Amino acid sequence: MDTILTALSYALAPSTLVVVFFASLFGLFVGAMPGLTATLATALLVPVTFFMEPVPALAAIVSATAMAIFAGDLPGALLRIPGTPASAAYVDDAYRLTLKGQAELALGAGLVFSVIGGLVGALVLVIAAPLLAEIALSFSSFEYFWLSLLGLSCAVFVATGKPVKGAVSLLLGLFISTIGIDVAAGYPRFTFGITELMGGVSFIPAMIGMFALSEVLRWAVGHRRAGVLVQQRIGNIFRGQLGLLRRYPLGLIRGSLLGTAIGILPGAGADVAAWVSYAVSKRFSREPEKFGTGHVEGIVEAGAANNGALGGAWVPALVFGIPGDSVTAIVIGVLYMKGMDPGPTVMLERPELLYAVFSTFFLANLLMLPFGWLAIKCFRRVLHVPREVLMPAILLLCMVGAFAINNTVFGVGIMLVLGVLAFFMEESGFPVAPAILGIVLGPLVEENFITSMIKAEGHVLAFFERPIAAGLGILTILVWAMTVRRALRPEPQIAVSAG
Amino acid sequence: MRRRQLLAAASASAIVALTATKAHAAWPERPITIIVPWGAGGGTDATARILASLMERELGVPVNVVNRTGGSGVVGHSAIATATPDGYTLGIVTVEIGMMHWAGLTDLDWRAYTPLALYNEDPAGVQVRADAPWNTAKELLDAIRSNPPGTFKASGTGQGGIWHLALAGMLAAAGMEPDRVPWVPSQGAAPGLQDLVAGGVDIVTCSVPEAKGLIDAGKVKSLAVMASERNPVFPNVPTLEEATGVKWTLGAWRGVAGPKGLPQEVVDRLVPLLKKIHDSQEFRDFMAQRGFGVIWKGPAEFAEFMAQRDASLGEVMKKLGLAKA
Amino acid sequence: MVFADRVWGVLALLGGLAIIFAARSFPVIPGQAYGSALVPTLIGVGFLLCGTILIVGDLRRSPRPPVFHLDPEAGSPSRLLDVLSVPAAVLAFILLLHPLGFVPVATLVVGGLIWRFRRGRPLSALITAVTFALFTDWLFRHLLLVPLPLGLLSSWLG
Repeated sequence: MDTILTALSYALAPSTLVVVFFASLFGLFVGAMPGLTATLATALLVPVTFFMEPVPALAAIVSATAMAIFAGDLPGALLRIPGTPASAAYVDDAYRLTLKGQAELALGAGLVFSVIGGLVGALVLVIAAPLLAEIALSFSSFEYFWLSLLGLSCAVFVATGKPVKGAVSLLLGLFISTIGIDVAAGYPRFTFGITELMGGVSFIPAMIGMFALSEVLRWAVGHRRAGVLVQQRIGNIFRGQLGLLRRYPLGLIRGSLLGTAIGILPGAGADVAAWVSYAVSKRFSREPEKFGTGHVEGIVEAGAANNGALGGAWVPALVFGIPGDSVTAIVIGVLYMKGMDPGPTVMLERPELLYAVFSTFFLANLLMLPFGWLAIKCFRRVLHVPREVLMPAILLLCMVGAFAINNTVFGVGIMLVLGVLAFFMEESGFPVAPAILGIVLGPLVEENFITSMIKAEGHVLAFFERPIAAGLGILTILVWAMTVRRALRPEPQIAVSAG
Repeated sequence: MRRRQLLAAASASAIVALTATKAHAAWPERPITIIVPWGAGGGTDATARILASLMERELGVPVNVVNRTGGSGVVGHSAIATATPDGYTLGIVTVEIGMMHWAGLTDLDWRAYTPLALYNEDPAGVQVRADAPWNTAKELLDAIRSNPPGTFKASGTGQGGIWHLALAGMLAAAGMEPDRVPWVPSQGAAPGLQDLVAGGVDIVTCSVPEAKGLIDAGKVKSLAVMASERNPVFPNVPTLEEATGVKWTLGAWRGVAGPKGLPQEVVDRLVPLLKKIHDSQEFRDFMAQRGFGVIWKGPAEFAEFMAQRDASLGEVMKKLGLAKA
Repeated sequence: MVFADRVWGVLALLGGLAIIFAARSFPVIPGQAYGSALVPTLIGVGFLLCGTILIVGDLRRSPRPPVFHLDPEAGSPSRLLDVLSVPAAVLAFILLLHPLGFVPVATLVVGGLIWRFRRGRPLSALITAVTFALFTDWLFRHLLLVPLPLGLLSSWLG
C-alpha cells in the first residue's frame, strides 16, 4: 500500500504534471503532422529527458506517444492523410464519414475508443506484465512466421472490390518490402546501385504518397465536387458515443485486448495492431459490406487497438529489456539512463517508480479526453480553408514529412512515385490498403520464414514441431483455405459497386 | 509577366544571401548534425545522444542526432562520408566500416573520413540460455566439437555482421570449421536474444551489455567475453582465453568522425572538446551504467586503429568465406 | 483516368517476369539451398497468376472496356494542367531543395500551386505561401529539429 501511495505521490507531483501537460501538447502536434510518428516524438523527447527525474522523464514519453497515436486520426479523418501509420487502417472509413457530414462521429469515436483502448492496455500492463512477457518470450521464429502469415490474410478483409485486384495490391506491397539489403543473406536487392535504396523503401513516405498525394491528385483531376466537404462545422463529438459503446461492446473489448496482445509481441506495434483489428472487426461484423464506405465500427475496434498496443509494448521492454515496438526500443535506453535497468529486478528494486510510471499511463489516457476535444476544435478550422489553398499546403506538409523520415529528398521521391502509382491504381479499382499492409508485414513474413527455414534445414515439418507453432500453423492454413474458397466463389454484385 | 518578376525577386535575394555567407564567423555558428548509422534506442544511438547533449552544452549551438538507418549501416556511413566537410555534419562511425567493403556492399572504407575520436569498444560475449547444460565456455566448445555440424545454431546480428564474425572466428581459433555452428541472421542483438530464450537458437555472441536485461532476469547466462580483460560491470564473466585457452578477441567499436577534408580549425576545436567530454564524470557514469567499454584515441591513433582493424577483419572474413572474392 | 484490367494484367505479367529474372542472380545463404531469391520469386509467381486472371477476366467481358478511359471533365487541357502541376511541384521540391533551401522552394511550390488552382491573384498567393513557408520552417526546424536545408537564406535564418 505504501508503495502505491509513494507511486501516486510521484505521479501527481507538480513537476510531473507540468511535464505531462507539455508532452501531451507536443504529442498531439507531432501525431497530427503527416510523416511524424510516435517514435519520432519519443526520439525528440530523449535529449530533454536527460535532465529530468525518472518519473517525469518516462511520463513525458508515455503521454506524448498516447496523444500522438490518437492525433494521427485527425488529419486522417479530415483530409485522408493518416498522421501516423497506426491510423492508416481505418483512414478511408473516417474520411468518408467526414465527407458524409459525420466528422464528429468519426473523430469522437477515434478519441473515446482510443482512451478506452489505452486504459485497457495500461490495466493489462499493471496486472499481468511478468506473466505475459514470459509467454511472448517463448515465441520463436516459427510462431512468428505463422502469426505474420495470419496477419497477411487480413489483406482480404481490408480490401474492397475484386479479390484479384486486392491480391495485386498486396503483392505490390510485399515486393516493395523486399527492396534493399535483405535480412537473411545481407544482399542488396532491386536497388539499381542506389545507396539510398539499400536501406529499403521507408514505410512512412510510401504511406504518405499512397494516401495523401493520391488524394491531392484526385482532387485536382476534377473530383472536386465529390471531394467538397458537405460539412462546415463539427458538432458535439461526444454525442452518439454512448450509443456506439452499446452497439459495439464486443468489438471494443476485442480491439483493446487484441491490440494490447499484438503490442506485447516484440516486433509488432500499434500499426500492425490497427490493421489486424480492423480486419477482425470486418470479419465478425454483421454488416461487413459497409466497411470502407464510411462505417464507424472498424474505427471503434482498430482505434482502441492501436492505443492498447502502446501499453502492451512496454510489457516485454520492462520485464526483459526486449522492445515491443519502436517506441519502447528508445524507452529501454531511457530506462538504463535513469538507473531503472529493465528486468524483473526493476519490479523488486524500484516498485514505486514503476507504479508511478503505470499511473501516468492512466493519467495520460484520461487527459486525452479534454486535450483531444480541444485538438479537434482547433484542427477542424482546417476545413474552413478553401481547398485551392489547403491542397498545396497539405502537399508541402507531406513533402516535409517524407523528408523528415531520413532527412533526405529521397523520401520525397518515394512519396511521388508511389503516390502517382496509387492514384492510377485507385482510379482503376485497385484498393491501396493491401499494399500498405504488405509493406508493413512483408519484412516480418520474410525474415521469420527464412530464419525458420535455416533452423529447420529446409524441413517443412519443423514448422509444426513446436506445440504453439503447430496450433498457429493449422489455424493459419484453415484461415487461408477459407479465404481462397471465398475468393474463388462468384463475386456478389455489391463488391463491384463498392470498388 | 508576373512569373518573371517573381524570379527576379528570387535571384536578387539569392545574391544578397550568397554575399552574406562569405563573411563567416568562427565555427560553430549554426546547429551541428551528428549522423548515426543505426536505429534510435540502440547502443550507438544512446552513446551518440549523450555525446551530442554534452557537446551542445560546450559549444552553445544545437547538436542534433539524426538516425540514418538501413542497409546494414551502409546508408548512414555513406551519408557521413558524402556530407559537406564544413564541420556542421559529423557522424558516429562503427566497426562495420571495416567490414562492409570486404563483403562487397560498398566501396567505402575508413579512408573516406576525417577521424576525430574513438570513444568506445565492446567485446563480443558468449551467451547461452540460463538452463543450458553448459556452465563454462569450455564445455560449450567441447559440445560443439563432439556433436555433428549443424547441431547448434547461433544468432545475434545479420549475416556477416560483427557478432557472426565473432562466432566464426572463435570456432576457427578453437580448431573447428567456422560454419560448424550455422548462423541464423537476426535484426540485431535483441531479436537474437529473444530467439535464444524462446529456444530457437542455442548461442548468441553479442556483447555482454546488450544481454544485461535478460542476464539480470535469470533467462540468459554469459560464459565468456572475447577480450583480453574482464568487464568491470560483469566481473564473474571470464575472458575466452581464461575459460578455454582459445586466443581470440573481437569487439565492436564506435568513434566520432567527419567527412574527409574537415577544416583544421574544426578538428583543432573538436578534439580537445571531445577529450574533455570523454573525461567528464557524466559521460563516464553513463557508459559505466550501461556497461559500455570506454577507450580513447585521438585523430592519429584512431586512423591507425581503423586501418589496422580493417586489415585484420578483412583477413578473418576472407578466411571464413564471408568476404567477396 | 481508368486503365482497363488487361493493361494492369500485362503490367503484372511483365513485372512478375522481371522480378523472377532479377531474383535468379541473388545469392544463396552459405550452406543453404535458398536465400535472397526465395521470397521475391514467390512474389513474382503471384504477379504472373494475378496478371493472367486480370487479362482473361477482362477479355471475357462484353462489351470490352476501353484500354484507357478519361472523364470528359478531367480531360480538358486546363484540368490536365492542374493534375500535372502536382507532380511537377513535388519534382521541383526534390530538385531545388538543396540548392535553394527550404523557405524559397516551399514558397515557390505552394505559391505556384495556389496561383494555378485559383486561376489568378498571384500576389495573395505569394503572401500566403511566404507566410506558410516561414511558419513550416520554424515549426519543423526549430521545434522538431528536422534539419531542413537553409540554402540561400543560411545567414538569415540560422
